[in-house]
Amino acid sequence: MHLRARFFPLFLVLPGIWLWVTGCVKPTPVPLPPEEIVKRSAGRMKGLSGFHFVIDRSGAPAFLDNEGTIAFRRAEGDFVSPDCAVAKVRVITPGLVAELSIVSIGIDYWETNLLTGEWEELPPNMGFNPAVLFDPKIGFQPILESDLINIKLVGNQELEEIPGKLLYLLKGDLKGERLYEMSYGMIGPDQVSVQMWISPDTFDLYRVVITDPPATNGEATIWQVDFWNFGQAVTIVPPAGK
Amino acid sequence: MKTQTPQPHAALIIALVSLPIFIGALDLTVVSAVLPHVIFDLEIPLQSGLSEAAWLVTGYLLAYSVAMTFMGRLSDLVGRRLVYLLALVIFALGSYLVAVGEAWPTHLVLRFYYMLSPLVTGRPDPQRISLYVLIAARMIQAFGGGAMVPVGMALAGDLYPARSRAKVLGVIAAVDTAGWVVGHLYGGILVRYLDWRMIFWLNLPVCLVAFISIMVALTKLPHPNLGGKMDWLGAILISLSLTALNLGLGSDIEVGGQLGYQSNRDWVIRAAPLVMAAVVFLGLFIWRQGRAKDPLVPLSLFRQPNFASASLANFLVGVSLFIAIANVPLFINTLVAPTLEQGAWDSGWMLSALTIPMAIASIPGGWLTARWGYRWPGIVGLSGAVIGFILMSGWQATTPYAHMIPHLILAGVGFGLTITPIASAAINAAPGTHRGTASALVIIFRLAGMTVGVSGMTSYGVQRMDTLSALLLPPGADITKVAEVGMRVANTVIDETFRIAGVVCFLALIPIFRLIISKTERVGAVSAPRE
Repeated sequence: MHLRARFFPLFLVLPGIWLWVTGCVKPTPVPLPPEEIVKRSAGRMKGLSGFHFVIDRSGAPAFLDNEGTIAFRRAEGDFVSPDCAVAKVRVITPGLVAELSIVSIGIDYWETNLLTGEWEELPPNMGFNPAVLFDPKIGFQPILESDLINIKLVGNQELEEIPGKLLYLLKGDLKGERLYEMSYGMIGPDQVSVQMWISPDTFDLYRVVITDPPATNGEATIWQVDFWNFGQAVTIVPPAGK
Repeated sequence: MKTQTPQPHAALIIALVSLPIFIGALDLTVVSAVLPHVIFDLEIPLQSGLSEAAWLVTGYLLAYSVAMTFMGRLSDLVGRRLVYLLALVIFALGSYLVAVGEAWPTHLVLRFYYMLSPLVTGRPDPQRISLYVLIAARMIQAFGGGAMVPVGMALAGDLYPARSRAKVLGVIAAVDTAGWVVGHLYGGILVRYLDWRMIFWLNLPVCLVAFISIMVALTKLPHPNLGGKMDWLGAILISLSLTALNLGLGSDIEVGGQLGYQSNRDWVIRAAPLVMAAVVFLGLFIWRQGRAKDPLVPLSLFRQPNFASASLANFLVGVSLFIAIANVPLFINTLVAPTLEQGAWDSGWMLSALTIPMAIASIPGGWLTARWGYRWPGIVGLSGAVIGFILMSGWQATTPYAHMIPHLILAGVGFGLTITPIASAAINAAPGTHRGTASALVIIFRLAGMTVGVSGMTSYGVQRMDTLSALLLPPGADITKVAEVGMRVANTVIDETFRIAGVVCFLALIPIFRLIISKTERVGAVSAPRE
C-alpha cells in the first residue's frame, strides 16, 4: 500500500509523457508510389497559370539547324498557359556565342535577328518555341505522364539553389519518339534517362535532368530544366512595333 | 632622406621592384590577345555581353590608375616595404582568382546568392557570374599592379640622390611601358600553346620569388618618415570620378539594342548622368586638393604651362594609342584569322609592328628632345602617327599583312618619338620635390586616356554596328547573309575608329605646340625618362 502510494504520481505523469512524445514526433508518411508522384506533378504543372524556366544544355552539342552550325546552349524565360512564352536563347555558332529573344503568343511567333536584334515574325512551327515545349496538351507535361517508364523513387534530396527544402528525387527512363518531335529533334528519338526533383508538399516539379546517350561512342547530351515562380503569369505582349 | 650618393644595392633593389611592375603592366594588355578566348569559354553572348566583357580590359585600367593615384602617398606614411609587399600580395591574389575564377569563386558567389534566395528573386546565370568574378579578380590584380608603380618610383627617391633620380624614374616608367607594350605578344604566344588561364598561373611563382627577395632587400630600408596625413577623401573622390566616367562611357550598351525592349538611342540618356557625376567628382577632387594640407596631387604642378600641356597631350596619346592596341586584334580576329588561336597569334605579332618600333623610337625621341626641345619631336612623331592611322583606316579583310605592317610601324615610330618629349616636359616642369609625383602622373594621364579610349570606342563601335547592321540587313535574311553583312559592318566600324584615333592624335598636336623650353632650362641637363 505504501509502495503504491509512492509510485502513484508516476502513473499520472507517464501517460502525460507518452502523449507529449507521440504528439511531437510526426508519423512517418507512407511514401506515394513514384507513378503517383509523377502523375500529381504533371497534373499540377498543367493547372499552373505560368512559370519561369531555364533550359541548360551541357555535354555533346545539340543543333537547332540541319546543317549543324547553330548549337543550342541555354534558354531562360516565362511560360504563360496555355500558349504564350517569352525567352532569351543562347546559341553557339563556330567561334561566336550569340543570344536571341523569342516572343510567342498563340500562333504568332517573333524572334530577334542574331546580328541586328531587329524583331522578325516567323511562320508557325519554325524555330525553337518554348510555348510548344511546355504546351499542356502536347508538350513536356503530358509526355512525362504517359512516356515515363521504369520510374523509381530514389529518396529525398536538397537542391543547392533551394537550400533547406527536401524534394523527392525520382529516376526513370523516357521514351524518345514524342520527345524528339517536341524538342525540334534535339532530344531522342531513342530512349533517354531522366531524373526529377519534385516537391513533396505541392508536387511542383523543380528540376528535370535528361541524359540523352550518344548514338555512337561519345559524349552524352545533358539537359537540365529548372522551374520556379510557379503560378506566376507574366504579361507577354508582342514586341514593340509588331 | 636626402642623400648625395645612391644607397647601397640601390640598383639591385630597383631591378627587383621593377620585375613585378613589369608583370603588372604586362597583364594590362595581355588580355587583348586572350579576350576572344575568354568570351567564348565563358559563353558570353556577343549582343548583351560584349560591353560587360570589355570590363576585363577597362576594369584593369581603371583599378591600375586608381591605385597609382594614392598608394605612393600611403607608402610615404606607413613605409615602402609594407605597402610594396602588400601590393604584390594583392596582385598575386588577383592573378590566382583570375586563373580559378570560373571554379570555386563562382560557386561561392552562387552559394551566397542562393542563401539570399528568400530575399532576391530569380536566379543568376552562372556564366555571367563567372564573368563578374573574373572582372573583380582582374581589378584586384590591377590594384596591386598599379600600386607597385608609384611605390617603386618613391623608392627611387629614397635610394638615389636628386641628381640621378630622374634617370631611375625614367627606368621604372620605361619598365612599366615595356610591360604593356609586349603584353599582347606574350599573350598571343602563350595562348597558342597553352590555356589562357595559364598566363595568370605563371604570375604566381614570379610573385613568390619577388616577394621573398624584395622582403629581404628592403629590410634595412629606413622609413621615409615624410609625415603628414593621407588624403583619403581625395583618394575616394578621384576613384569615384574615374569609376563614374568609365561606367558612363561603357553604359549598358548592347549590340542589337532592341533586345530586352531597350534601344541604344537611350544610351546618351543613361550615360549622361554618370559622365556628369564624373565631372562633379573631379571638380570636388580638385577643390579638395587645393585645400588639403598634404594633397595627393599638388595643383601647383598644373600651373606650369609645360606640365599642363604635356598632361593633356599624354591623355590624348593614351586614347589614340589604346584604340590601335584594341583595334588591331579586333580587326584580325573578326575579319582575317580563321580560328581564335590563329587570331591571337597573328594579333600578337602584328601589334608588335606597332609597339616594338614605338619602344625603339623612344630612344631617338630622347636624343631629338635634347637637341631640338620638346615641341618638334612631338610634332613630327604625332604627324607620323596621324598618317599611320589614316592608312590603317583603309584596311580591308583582304589587305595582306605585308601591307598593314608599314602602316603600324609608321604609327609606332610616331608614338615613340612623341612619348619621350611629353614625359620629359612634364617631369622637368616639376620642382625637385614633386618629380616622383610628376612621373606617376605622366603614366596616370596616359592610362586615363587609354581607359577613356577603350570605353568610348567600345560604346561607339557597338552602337555603329547596331545602326549599320539594321540599315544593311534585310528582314528575314538567312545566316549566310547575316554573316556576310556582319563582316562588312565590322570592317567599316573598325576603319572608322582608326580614323577617330587619327583625329584624336591630330588634336594632341595643339598642346604639343604649346610646349616651350624656358631660357633657364636645357633639356639635356635633366635625363629624359626613356620609355
